[in-house]
Amino acid sequence: MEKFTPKFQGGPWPAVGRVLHVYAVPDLHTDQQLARLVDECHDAMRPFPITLMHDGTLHCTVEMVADTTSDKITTKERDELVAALRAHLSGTGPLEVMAGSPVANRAGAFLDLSPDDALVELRERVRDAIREVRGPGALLHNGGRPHMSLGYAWDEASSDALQTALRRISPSHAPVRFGAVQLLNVLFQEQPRPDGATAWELSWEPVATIELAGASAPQTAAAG
Amino acid sequence: MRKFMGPKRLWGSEGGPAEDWIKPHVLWLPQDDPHVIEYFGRLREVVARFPDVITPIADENLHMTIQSIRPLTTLGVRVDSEQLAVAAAAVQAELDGMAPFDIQIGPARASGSAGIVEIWPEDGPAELNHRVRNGLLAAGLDLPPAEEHFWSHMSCGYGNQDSDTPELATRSDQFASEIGKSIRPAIRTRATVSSVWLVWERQRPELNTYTFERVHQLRLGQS
Repeated sequence: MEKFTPKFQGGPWPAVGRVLHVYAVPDLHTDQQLARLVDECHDAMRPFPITLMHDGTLHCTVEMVADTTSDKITTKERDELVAALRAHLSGTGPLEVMAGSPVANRAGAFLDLSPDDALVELRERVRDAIREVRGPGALLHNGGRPHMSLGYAWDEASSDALQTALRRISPSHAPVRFGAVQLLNVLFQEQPRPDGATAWELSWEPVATIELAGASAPQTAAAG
Repeated sequence: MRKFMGPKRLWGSEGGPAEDWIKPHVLWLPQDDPHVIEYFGRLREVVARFPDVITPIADENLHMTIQSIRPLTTLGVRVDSEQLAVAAAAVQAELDGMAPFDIQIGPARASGSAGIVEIWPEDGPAELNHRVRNGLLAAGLDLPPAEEHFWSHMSCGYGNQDSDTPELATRSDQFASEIGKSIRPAIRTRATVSSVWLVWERQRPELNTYTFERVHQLRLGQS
């Protein structure tokens, strides 16, 4: 792994900028199996140079509003975005997926989420809402595989050694339920560490909660 | 990525006894399951794009290791066909009381020296490993120590050289990125484990793979 550096529009993260994101945020008080799995993953990750994502920063990124920083989005535009998200997600019910296995990667480690069909569909609806309000230029990423980041690396280390530690965790999976998505004002700040290094740390301010109150899609638990 | 069959992993040595390259193993073999073969076929397409990094595994060599067996018994005698037959009967007795179980195969990811495909849930393979070990030990075979948590996995490729240049490191990173996402949406498949095979497994460093000769099929839930 190598030091994680957040990007915005293909370049450095804006110095004082916050960026609107839609995240699915797990409730670790309700999903206690997930909480245990995350704790065990964090125990395995602790010897490595990784900033851990705890309750309050643990999330699954659904989409970023990537055309500009949030300070340049007016309250009216923000309200329109929330309204569009509510409209496009009105038919979407709560999602229940499986988190696991934990995987070490270049940026740190994450929990894979599956089956991903419903999450991919959720993402498409969110993208439709963003596109409708802010145009196609607000979508700059293809999304990738749904996952939940467990932590971001702040220095180089062996991903293989971390994977060896992560694969000893059993059970390696836990169910997670997303009953809402959050529109958040997301900030990455490069913070000094006691050892002189710096680490990018994530924080956010809530903007709106969009409940997933539609009919639940049948959970196939099928391969996917 | 590093070379998978590096010096520490080699079973035999140049000029050493030919039989050192062969060890008995208990494997789960997916060759009769077209869904699994099709799944690994799609992984192979990704692996094959990186011949400078990793060697794909042919359909006939795909396997999940349930237990490796040391080639010498606890008495220091090389395991032969007769002892394998005794072990087969002992393992079969252990498996009679275990029902077939389903596994989820995938997703794939890069490890330090291989393309790894995860198996989940862990319970079935762990119990299978436990029962197989009991049978093999009862038959007097010598085994590596049990893992605290049996790591059930399959491989979709073996690293063929150390990525020790910037170009190879970049290629290795590209492989790691692509193997995890290139076969979406179906990044997993399913299978039922209803039997395992006691085999003679041969390490083939010159081909960067393992081949095996099937000897005894042992079925779950026979009773």
